[in-house]
Amino acid sequence: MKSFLKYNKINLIFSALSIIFVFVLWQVCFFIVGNDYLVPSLNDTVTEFFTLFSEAFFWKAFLNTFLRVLSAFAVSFILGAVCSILSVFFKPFNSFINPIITILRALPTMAALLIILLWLSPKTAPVLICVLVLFPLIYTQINAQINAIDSGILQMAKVYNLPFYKRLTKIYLPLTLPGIFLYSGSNLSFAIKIVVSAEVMANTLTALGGLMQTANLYLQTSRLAALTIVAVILGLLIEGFFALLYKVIFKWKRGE
Amino acid sequence: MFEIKNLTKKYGDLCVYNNFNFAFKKGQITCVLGESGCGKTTLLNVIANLTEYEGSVPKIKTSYIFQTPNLLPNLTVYGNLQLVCGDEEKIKSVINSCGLEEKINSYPNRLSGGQKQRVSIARAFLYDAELILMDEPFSFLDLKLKLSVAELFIKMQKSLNKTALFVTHDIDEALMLADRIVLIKSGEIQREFIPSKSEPPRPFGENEELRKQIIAELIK
Repeated sequence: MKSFLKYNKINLIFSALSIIFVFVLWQVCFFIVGNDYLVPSLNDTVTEFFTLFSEAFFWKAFLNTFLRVLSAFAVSFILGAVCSILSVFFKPFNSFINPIITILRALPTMAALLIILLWLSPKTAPVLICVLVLFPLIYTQINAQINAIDSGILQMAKVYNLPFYKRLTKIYLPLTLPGIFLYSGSNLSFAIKIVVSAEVMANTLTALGGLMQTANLYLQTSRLAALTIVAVILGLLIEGFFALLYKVIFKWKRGE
Repeated sequence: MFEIKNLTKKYGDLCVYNNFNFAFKKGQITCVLGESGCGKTTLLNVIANLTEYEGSVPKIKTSYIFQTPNLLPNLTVYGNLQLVCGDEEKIKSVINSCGLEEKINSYPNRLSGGQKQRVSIARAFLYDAELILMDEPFSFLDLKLKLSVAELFIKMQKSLNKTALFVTHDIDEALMLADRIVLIKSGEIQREFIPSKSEPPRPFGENEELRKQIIAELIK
């Protein structure tokens, strides 16, 4: 226990040093460049960061972006789960879906967004582009989780004539959910990046990306940096939350 | 008697069994002994209906003790056994027979290799099967563990009067466990042997002469 705490304490110290290093580097760049339109000062950025939280408009924009992220993730997850289950248990569907997945993976995101903006409004286009990027990723992840189930366990289930509901609830779901759950944290974090980038490109009003675009237009670099930090922190919090939940929910994985 | 008649099994161009006939008695432990790749596991998989084949194979309920225990990592020892038997009293009784009382609520990642294989044995005996199949069940265990797990298996087989068919390339395992040893080569039965079984099971002693005969057959 003591060595475990000591080891984690050392890890925490080095992680904290890493963050301090980034901030020090930032401040050094600020002094070297000497132009706060190009590199904002750390002090101004921090001030802007805390100012944001007092603005009602910021919270509205934050909520809109967050809802877009959640809806894009939900659609991608449901689509990815259904397609990968069909793909594993119905081989012709696997042959059908694979070329589509390959095309979507190769699709240049921003080019696709420009085309989508011809069809949809700046409010909904970021959601669709996120789905187009996230769906093939989630499909591949869930597919891999199902195919990674030990074939010996599936043989055991067949020999012992386990009924369908037992195979589903005792084998397929418990053995695939941990990996899917962990991936979900990083997928949500990735979705934030895609949605915010798309909002910037589409100049979506009342959105984090829209606020970034506006700050950029008015050369409010410190505000732009502050909004970027908000997006980064949101991603980190989501990943951390999922990692914590994982340890609580999947107790049986401890000791592996 | 369980009888297999005219079994033919091919993997592409490779013919493992061609009109193979094989019978084994109920209530006995029969061992199929042969070198690696001679089709021993295939025979078990055919009987367990895990692979396609041609011929007449008895359609019976089987338990299977695999080479690796194939326990569900997300279920405790009790949970793994509950998959095949809903009778709580029966599960607890078998767990006690296997010496796993202290591990009843442990997950497989907290068990040793020998303990996992004992759970696998318990599962095989709990399932209401006519025949227990075993595929080199002791291959990953050291000698001491082999002897203790073999002793457990024989004790449970005798008390429940189960029929068992197991395959191995290990002569010691065959001599310890089997009431009858069938030597297979190139998909055919070469010879049969009836070993003397000791209590507790040991691979040496009265079977030394038999061991020499088996080795001689294997290296022909």
